[in-house]
This record gives sequence, structure tokens and C-alpha cells, in this order.
Amino acid sequence: MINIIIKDIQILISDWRSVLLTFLLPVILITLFVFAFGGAGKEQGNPVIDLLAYNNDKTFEAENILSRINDLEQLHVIRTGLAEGKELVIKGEQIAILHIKKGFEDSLKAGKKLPLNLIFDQSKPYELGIIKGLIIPQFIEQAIPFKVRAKLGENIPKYMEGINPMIVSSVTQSIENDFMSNQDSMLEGLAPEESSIRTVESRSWGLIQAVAGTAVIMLLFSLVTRGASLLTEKESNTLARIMTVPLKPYHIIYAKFTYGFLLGMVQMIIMFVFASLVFGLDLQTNIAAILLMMIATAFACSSFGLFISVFFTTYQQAEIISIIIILVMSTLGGSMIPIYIMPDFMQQLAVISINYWSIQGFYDIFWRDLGITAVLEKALVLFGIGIILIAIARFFILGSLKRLLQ
Amino acid sequence: MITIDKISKTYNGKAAVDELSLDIETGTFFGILGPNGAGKTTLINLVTGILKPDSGNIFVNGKLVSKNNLKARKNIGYVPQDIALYSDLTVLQNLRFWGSFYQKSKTFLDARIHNLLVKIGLLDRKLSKVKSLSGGMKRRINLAVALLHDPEILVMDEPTVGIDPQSRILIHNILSEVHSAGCTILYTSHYLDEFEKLCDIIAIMDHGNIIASGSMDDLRRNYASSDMLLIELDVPIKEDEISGILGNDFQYAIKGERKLIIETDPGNKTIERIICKLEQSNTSIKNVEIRKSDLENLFFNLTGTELRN
Repeated sequence: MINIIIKDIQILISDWRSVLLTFLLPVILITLFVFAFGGAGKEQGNPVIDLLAYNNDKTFEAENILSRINDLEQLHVIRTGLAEGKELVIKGEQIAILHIKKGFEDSLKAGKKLPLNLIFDQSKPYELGIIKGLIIPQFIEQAIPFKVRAKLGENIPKYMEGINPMIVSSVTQSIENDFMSNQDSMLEGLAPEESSIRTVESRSWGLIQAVAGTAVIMLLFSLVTRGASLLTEKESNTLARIMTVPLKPYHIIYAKFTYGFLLGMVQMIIMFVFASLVFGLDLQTNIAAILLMMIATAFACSSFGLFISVFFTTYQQAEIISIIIILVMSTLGGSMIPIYIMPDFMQQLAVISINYWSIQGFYDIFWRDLGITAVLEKALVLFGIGIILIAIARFFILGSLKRLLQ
Repeated sequence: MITIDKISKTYNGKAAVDELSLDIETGTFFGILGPNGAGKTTLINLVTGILKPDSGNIFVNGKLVSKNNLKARKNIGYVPQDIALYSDLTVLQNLRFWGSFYQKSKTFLDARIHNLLVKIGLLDRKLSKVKSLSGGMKRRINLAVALLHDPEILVMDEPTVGIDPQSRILIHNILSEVHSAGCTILYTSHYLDEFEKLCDIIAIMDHGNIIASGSMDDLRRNYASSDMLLIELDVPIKEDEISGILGNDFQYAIKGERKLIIETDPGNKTIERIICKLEQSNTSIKNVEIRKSDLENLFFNLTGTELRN
């Protein structure tokens, strides 16, 4: 029996592809996920989140609350104008803007509902949850003393006229403490009103993340396979024969690229139409922008497939390495984990992936209702990635073909 | 006409083709015979333009292949050593695909495909997927693909490996017909009878170069004047030892320490004398083989290796 075990170990070790997939890939993915969820390093603190703030009250208490929020370790307050802040949230560049309306201090002192509005991008629920969890206690802490005093102020003259002020103070403190330990009852009127930048409630953040994230990752897997068909041509001996027909080597890679691109377009159309018919994804509002992002994504993915094929001599090699690269890119780029829950350095790394630009583009369209001009930058980046990868493939194609035909 | 001028091609420091020069006249059926690793496929790949030589030039009909690659390729039909077809496509789809590269009209191509399908006996299988066909049928399609554009030069790298006799005969007939029509054919094979049957000129290739060439008659005349006795010994033997045993009565050569090749006249008495001399000297004989003066014998005589090693 032990012979069989040893033999199987020997077979595994002799195949470097299996070793990579069995041992290296899990290690790479664990590393990425640990970084993505911010779990690397015992001493590492939580990420600092930016919160836009527009103070229209401009009173002492309004400035005080913003100062308290800014003093929190996890929040960094950025002052902005209301329209400008909203624009940043709409574009997805910021998560939320806290609007302190006129009359904040008066309402605070009167124990009334606070005129606050938190305008947010609902496509970033994790960060939004952190923001709300941090700012609401600050409002409560600041508001409760005023609220209690206001309540006492109404009742003391009525029921406790002539009572010793020391006793009133002691009772007030005791009531405040009770309120503080039972915050839920005091929340009403203290938490800001919430306004999502989205107006159409039927749109689901989860649907957009699922469709955009899956579309890119599936396209990458599919088109790497198609791009690497140069290697299957070698294995089926047709590559040598193609090299004898009157055709320049570059034409072979352009043909492979074009096929991959067209296939990618059809795949994306099927995926998005399915999501539209079955899950209600809105394809009609920004059809031009959707098409642009589809073309850009298929372009980048197809050129990536071609790029991979140029550097390997067998299909199996290309398959293993591309699985690793695609999983890394997809993790970094937000296909597997929403990018905004990752630490800053991971978010900065994300820009090297095709997934990032594609997913962000589709978010702009489906979630933020932005048009073709807004996604143009992302599309151009994808075209740029594609052109660079094709140029590299073209540069190395002759050497690659030479290697393949040896 | 194909003119090869001192071409060399090296892989990992080892010369696959070593300063090889060759002229193949228009309309010649030119066979290249050589053991595995002799450089035949590399030479074929250089002629077809699949590979570029490290040095030297190849001219096809006066055009330098490396500079006029695309023009040269239009005149060449290539049959690779392995089946080079898309197994998931039908016979017809394959033929249309491969024929589409030569700027021939659809009418020409359709007619050509029909004629070739008739010739290779697969007209009734034109809609079958290639993967459903036998090895011999695939070989026939492999040849048809190379003939689609009616090339002036046909380059074939062992096109009849591992096929049934019926397909082989059919391929031979097609080649004879193409040759008769004036096509220049460069051909490699392991089947010696094919060289004798088909080729005008035979070149014997070893270690990346042509070591002999000419018509079959020329080769016989120049390199294989008599039958050969191949004696395999149990232990290695040196030149002076064998010289002491056989004296000056025989022409012989030692190949690979234990193989003794001795030219003999036909007749058992000569063989008996040689064996007797060896036994008297206590030289242990493992095997004795008489080789007739054929191409295989000639090849062995020139290279010291078996053709199918």
C-alpha cells in the first residue's frame, strides 16, 4: 500500500502544474483574502474612512459635532460644498456626505429632531454601516444632555418648584445616565435622515455586483482559453501548417484576438440580457454606455488571453498560470470581494486588474446612473490595457512561434 | 526549382542542418532518406518557411524564401508529418478553410475540392467530421489540403506513416499523377520502397547534411556494389584484432564496436569462410545477417545505422 502512496506522491511532484495548483494557489488566495479583509498584522488598525461634511448651520454645536467625529480614529471628515459633495458620492468617489442643516444647534438645545441628512452611495453598504455605527453615538452623546435638560426644564417648574438646585442637578445626571444606558429609546430624532443617491428602489446593489463581477471573471476564463488556442493549434499540428500558408504571423494573432473579442461580446450580451430578463437589470437607460463598457471589457479580456498564449509552450502551462493570474486579478479587482471593504493599499493595487475598471464602469452605469462620458475614462483604461497586451504579444509572437515549432 | 545554399539551423547548440546545399530541378520527385534526427523535418520546415535558417539561403523558383516568404508560400503545398486537420470540423470545412488562404475564386476552389475528394475517395464522407475518419482517410485529406491551390512545389514530410495499404497506394497514385503534371516534389519517408517506386532523385541525409544523392541507379553504382554481411559480435572488437583475423581478403568496416560489416560476393562459401575464421579466433558471434544490395543496405553502408532506429 505504501508503494502506491509513494508512487502517487512522485507523480504529483513530477508535475509542476499540479504542485502549483495544489500548494501555491491556495497560499496566494489566502494571502490575498487576508489582505482584502484587512486581517494582516496583529497591530494593524482599522482603515480610516473618509466622510464628507457640509455644515450649513455654522454654529458652535455644529462645529463641535464635526470635531468629535473627526477625532474618531476610523473617520476622517472632509469639508465640502453640498453640490460638490453629492457629485463625488454620485460618481462613487466618496461614500457619503453628512449634511448639517440650518437650525442644528437650536434643535439640539430644544431636544428636538436634529436636522441632519446623510446622503450616501448604497453600493458601499459595508463602509456605510461603519460610518453610521460611528457617528450616531456621537450625536446621542452630544444631544442627550440637552434633551434631558429640556425635559426637566419643562417639568421642574410644574412639579418641583422651589427644590434645591443641587438635587435638580443630581436627578438630571441620574436621568442622563439612564438615557445613555438605554440609547434605543433616545435614537429617534437624533440619527440623521438617510438619502441614498439611488432613486429607483428596484435596483439592487447585489445584482449589479453579481453580474458585473461574474461577467468579467467568466470572460477572462473563457477568453484565455480561446486566446490560448494558439497552443492547441500547436498540439493538433495545425500551427505548423498555418505557418506555411501565405499569411503573416501577426495576422494569426489578430485573428485569434478578433475571434476572442467577438466571442466575449456575445458572452457578455447573453449574460446581461439574461440578468435583465430574469433579475430585472436595467439595460435600456444607458445602452450606449453599456455597449462601450462591454466592448472595452471584451477587448481587454481577449488581449489578455492572447498575451498569456504567447509566453507558454503548452496549453496546460498556460491554463495553470492563467487560473492563478485570473483568480488574483479577480480578487484584487473586486469580482470576488467588493473592493471598498479592502484596505487602502489593496484598493490601490486593484487598478492593475481588468476586473476593477470593468466592474467600476458597470457600477457607474447601473448604480450611479452615469452616462457614456462618465465611463469613458474606465473604458479607455481597458482599451489601453488591451492595446499594451496586444503590442507585447505582437512583439513576442515570432519568438513564440519559433519555440512552438521546435 | 528549389536551390538551397549552405543553410544551417541549430537547436540548443546542436546543428540540425549543417551547411547543407542542394539543387532540386523543376519537375523532379526528390526523396530525402535519413534516420530519425538526421534533420529531414528541419530541412522541410526551412524550405516551407516555417523556420528561418541561422545562415544560408533558400530560393524557390528564384525567390529568396526569407525575403519573399508570402510569395514563395503561394507556390508551395505542404504535407506535414502529423495529421494537421481540425478534427471537430467536417472534411469539407477543413478543405474550405485551408483553401481560403490562396486568393482562389470560389468556383475554382469548389471545383478543386470536388475533384480532390473524388481522387482521395472521400466524396461520400465530405460531411463527416474528421475525427470520425480512419488514420488512412485523414492522411488522404492531409494530402488533399496541400494540393488545393494547385501548387508548383509539393513538400511532404513522411506523408504515409502508419496508414493502411489501400490509402498508401492511393496516395502513391495521386503523387505520380501530380508529378506527371510537372509538380516538383520534395519527399521524406521511412518506406524505402516508396523511394524506389516514386523518386527521380534520392538524397541520403545524416547529421544535418546530405551524404549521398543521385538516382537509384547512381546510388547503387556508387555506394553499393555488392551484398553485405552484417555480423554482430558478443564482445567489442578493435580494428587491428579483426584485421588479424580476416586478413586482406575482405572489405570490412566496424560500426558501433560490435557490428562488423563485410562486403561479400553472393554465395554461401564466402560467408562460411568468414564465419569459420571468426570462430577459429574464438570471436563469439551473436547474430549473422545477409543484406542484399538494396536501398536499405546502401543506407546502412553509408550511415552505419538502421533506417528505423
